[in-house]
Amino acid sequence: MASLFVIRGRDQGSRFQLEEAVHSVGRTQGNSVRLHDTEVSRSHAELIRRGNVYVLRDSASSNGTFVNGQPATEQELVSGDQLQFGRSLLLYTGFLEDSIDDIADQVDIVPRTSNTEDESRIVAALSHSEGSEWLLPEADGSSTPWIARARSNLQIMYRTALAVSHTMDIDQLLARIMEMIFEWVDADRGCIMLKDIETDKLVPKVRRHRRGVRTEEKISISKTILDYVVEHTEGVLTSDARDDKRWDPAKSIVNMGVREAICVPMQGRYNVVGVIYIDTSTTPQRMLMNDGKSNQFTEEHLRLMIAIAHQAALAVEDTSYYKAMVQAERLAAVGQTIASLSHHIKNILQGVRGGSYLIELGLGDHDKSTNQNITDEDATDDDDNVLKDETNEEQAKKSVDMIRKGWKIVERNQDRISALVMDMLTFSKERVPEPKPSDWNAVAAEVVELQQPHSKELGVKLVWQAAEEMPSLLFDTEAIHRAMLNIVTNAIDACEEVEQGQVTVRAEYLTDEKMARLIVEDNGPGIAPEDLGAIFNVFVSRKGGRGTGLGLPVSRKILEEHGGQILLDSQPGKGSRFTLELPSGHQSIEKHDAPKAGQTVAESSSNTLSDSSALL
Amino acid sequence: MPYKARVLIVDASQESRDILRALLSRQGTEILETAQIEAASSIADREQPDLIVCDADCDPSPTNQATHNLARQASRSAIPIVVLGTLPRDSRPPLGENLVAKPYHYAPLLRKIKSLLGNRG
Repeated sequence: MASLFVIRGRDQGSRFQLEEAVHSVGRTQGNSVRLHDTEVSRSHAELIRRGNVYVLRDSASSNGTFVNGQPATEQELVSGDQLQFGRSLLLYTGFLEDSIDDIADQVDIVPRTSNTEDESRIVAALSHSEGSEWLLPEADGSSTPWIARARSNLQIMYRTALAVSHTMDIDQLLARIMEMIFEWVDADRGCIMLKDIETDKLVPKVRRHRRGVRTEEKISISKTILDYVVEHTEGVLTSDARDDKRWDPAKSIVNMGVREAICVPMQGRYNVVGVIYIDTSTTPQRMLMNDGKSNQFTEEHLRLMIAIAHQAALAVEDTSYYKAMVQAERLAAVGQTIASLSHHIKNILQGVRGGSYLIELGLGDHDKSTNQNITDEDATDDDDNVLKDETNEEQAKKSVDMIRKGWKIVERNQDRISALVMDMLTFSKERVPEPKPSDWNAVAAEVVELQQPHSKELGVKLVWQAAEEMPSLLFDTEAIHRAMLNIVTNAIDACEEVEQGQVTVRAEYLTDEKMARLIVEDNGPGIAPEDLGAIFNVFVSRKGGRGTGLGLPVSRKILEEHGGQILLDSQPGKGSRFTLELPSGHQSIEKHDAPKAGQTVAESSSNTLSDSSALL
Repeated sequence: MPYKARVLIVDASQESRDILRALLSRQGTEILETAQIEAASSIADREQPDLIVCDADCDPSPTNQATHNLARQASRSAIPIVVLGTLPRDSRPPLGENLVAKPYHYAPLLRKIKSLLGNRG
């Protein structure tokens, strides 16, 4: 599918998929490519599909439409074109060529054991570093000056290409380019200027001078030369004396020396992204030694500088796009995080408001019925009073029930907000677990006990089976408790709409593997195979408004921090099984007093359970 | 026997249904409820309630197709519908003031429901 990606402007990071016959571009609602840019007209342009290409047509916009920096009224687009509407810059990506899909069939990789006719032998091999050695001048100086110079130039280009491909930091890249130029050319000073995206003005980024040259001296560059270089996209070699008719070695100008400079455009794919400037001064003494000649920079230097600047410009463009993409993705991720959390917090707040309102109404009703009782006591008719007493008592009972219901809802939402905060903290922090000798059985039993009211409320049967034998293990009790709680809560919630929903939580210790496991099985609706891959992704929730999409990724993070993992097995229509695995390895401290067969840890501590498959 | 208005609550959250049920029952309203928006249409068709209160979170589709369908059906049967939550502007049925953004306060919501039921009476 073709697309437009906004790389500059208020909508930076937005992507518009293009598939319709016509797409309208404009700043008002109703445009399929809507740009929040005051310099974009209401109906600015149209993208018209012709087969597998889009044609851009300007709709008599106030500020015009530009393709790759050139005004466009109607133009067929190709992948990589930059479209400018107002201050917004968009990158166009066309449809994939059909032939790309077929390439796999046209190339055959023959296995080593294959008995084909291909009996190729390796007759020569060269390493990556050896491959570039031929660019170095020959030690014996046997090559002609022309070949030696060509080799040297090629080596410069090779090194430039290597340098620009090794960094994604523009400042580092420019500094490296400048450094290389100074290794190669006898320049006194140099600087690289890049165009500011917002103002379009050249801004100095790197400045360098040859050792021994005064550094405090400002580099003054003629604006006329800079404008010429940028507008004509041509490099120039300048001298402040070459065409001076007054030139005469005997005259005073010799006393001042001559300054020569090379200024080249950094020509990217579409636009000039900056300029590179170097200069050198020839002293009067040197000029006299050279019979009055000053020119150290030649046209060959100019050509190479243009080539280097082009390489650098491509790298600057790539890095800028990469940065824009990363920034856009980061903004999108932040936006998604805020939207997702806001949605969940809104639901919690809604619950708190609902619960509070029930309490408020219940209190009001209760006050009314109590006041009524007092008024009735003042009355004289005893028979009437008995009847009224009963009615008022019933009213009072109803209002207390309402208060209780409201309070339960408030409490539940308090737990939700607390769980959300804990999950957010766990997810956001790079934390190191604080392990201490702990009992896997006991932590799991506590989680099950904690979830008992929730499962009862949803009519889900919660079964707990403790491991008969479980050594004491080293783990962060609080963190593992959080992970177990998330998994068990999810399983119970998954069974909410299931008749005779059941969640079985089973702990076990695998002696040979030295591994503790907690298996949480439910008979809920299960997870579709296509959703399995995303189930541990952050903010992916199948619980609608109730789910934060943090529980599973947080639980997995906790287990992984302990060197463990969470396994998932699910069958749509039958249910899911989550297995939390914690390797004990050398962490095992001592054998824990295992609960007797058929006895759970929870039982030993609270006597609330009666057998190994206890229903909580 | 006085007429009891009937309200169909469509909400995936048991808790939200509980709250609305408690509040509306207190006012003497009869409650019908479902957690699934897909089931709401047939219930509305069969029971002809006086009002539908539907939570937007019930409809997981990005185009809110189920909400659209329910709103259309309610409109055909002249049943007022209140949608709770947020719907994207470009996929929003014409609900006017009957789209109540979350988090909302219950007192104004109950007044709105009472007024819509009153208009039908």
